[in-house]
Amino acid sequence: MVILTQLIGRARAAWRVLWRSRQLEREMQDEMRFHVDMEAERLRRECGLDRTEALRLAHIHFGGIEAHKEAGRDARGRRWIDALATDLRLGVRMLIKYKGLTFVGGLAMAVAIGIGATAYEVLNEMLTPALPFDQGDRVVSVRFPESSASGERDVLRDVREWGGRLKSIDDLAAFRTIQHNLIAPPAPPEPIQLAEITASGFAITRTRALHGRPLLPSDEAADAPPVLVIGYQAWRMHFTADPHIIGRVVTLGGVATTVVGVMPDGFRFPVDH
Amino acid sequence: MAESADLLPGTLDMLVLKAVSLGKLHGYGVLLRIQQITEGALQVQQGALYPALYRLERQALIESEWGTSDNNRRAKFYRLTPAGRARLGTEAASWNRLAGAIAAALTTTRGEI
Repeated sequence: MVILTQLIGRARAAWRVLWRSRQLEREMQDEMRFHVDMEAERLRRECGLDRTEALRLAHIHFGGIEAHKEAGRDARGRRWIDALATDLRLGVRMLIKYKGLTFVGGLAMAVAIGIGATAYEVLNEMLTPALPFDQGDRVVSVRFPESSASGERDVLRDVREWGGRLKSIDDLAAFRTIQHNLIAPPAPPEPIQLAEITASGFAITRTRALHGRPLLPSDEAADAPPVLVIGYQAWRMHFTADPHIIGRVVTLGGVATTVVGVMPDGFRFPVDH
Repeated sequence: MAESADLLPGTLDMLVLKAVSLGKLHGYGVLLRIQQITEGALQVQQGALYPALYRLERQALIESEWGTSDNNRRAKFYRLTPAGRARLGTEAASWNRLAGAIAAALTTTRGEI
């Protein structure tokens, strides 16, 4: 309990030192003045000296007032605050005096901060990459754990079932890559890489088609006609950027498929975006 | 005046605590009391009292308040705190131990070695 009151006492003293230094100075002056006067009075009384002589002797007995005041300030613990304040003032004055140095130093700090921030961004991207879509950081990939019991699983059925039930996920899409032969006269037949994907995949990317439309949920119906959405590069390479591409029927893996959309340049989802 | 000894550092603080323990005093009163209780055997440069007082106050061993002196002048009075009283006790004990040890050493005669 003694320690607590002692701490409080010290805190209060430190507070006074910080904010009432002028008052403390005045008080110190008053105290020392009082002391010297009392001593002078005693000397007059006991030694019969006159006023000026008593005062002079009293000052001698007291010692150098300024030295004692300095020691007093030290004892109050004001030294380090004074030193800090002086250093700060000096520092600011120097900054103003050597403007060129200040400017260069500030510039260096700005560059360093910029580099640091960039590095952080890069690291952030590397560790938690986001797909470059609208709100791409919200796109996650969901993995289904292998369960040996079910064998070949009907992923599409799972996606349909779970897509509806999962609360933390808005759109769930599934795809698989496959290779088919594309027959699109007048180009010669050639095999191309495809992704068979649920229409929700396009919903996730929130990217508008360059021409036509992306896949829609209506295309997933069992009786819907086979449709195809092609990428920009494919449009230029295989279809020579035909402006009338939409609605054109090609043969894909032996099935007549209608091209319904072309995606913009750079769109390579889901394989390589 | 009898021969007077110089004060060892740290003993001034102890004397101030002792002086204040005997009753509330202003700075000059502390000086007079020290002269009184040491029977004038110790020389204290009067101004050196104040750094000591401030130091002790900062350690919350004494506390101060402004009041009026006997001759109706404004003066700052100092008083011992409970912590100060405890410190005075421990300081006095260790001083006595030290003094006793030195006294014993100094009175060792040739035969006792």
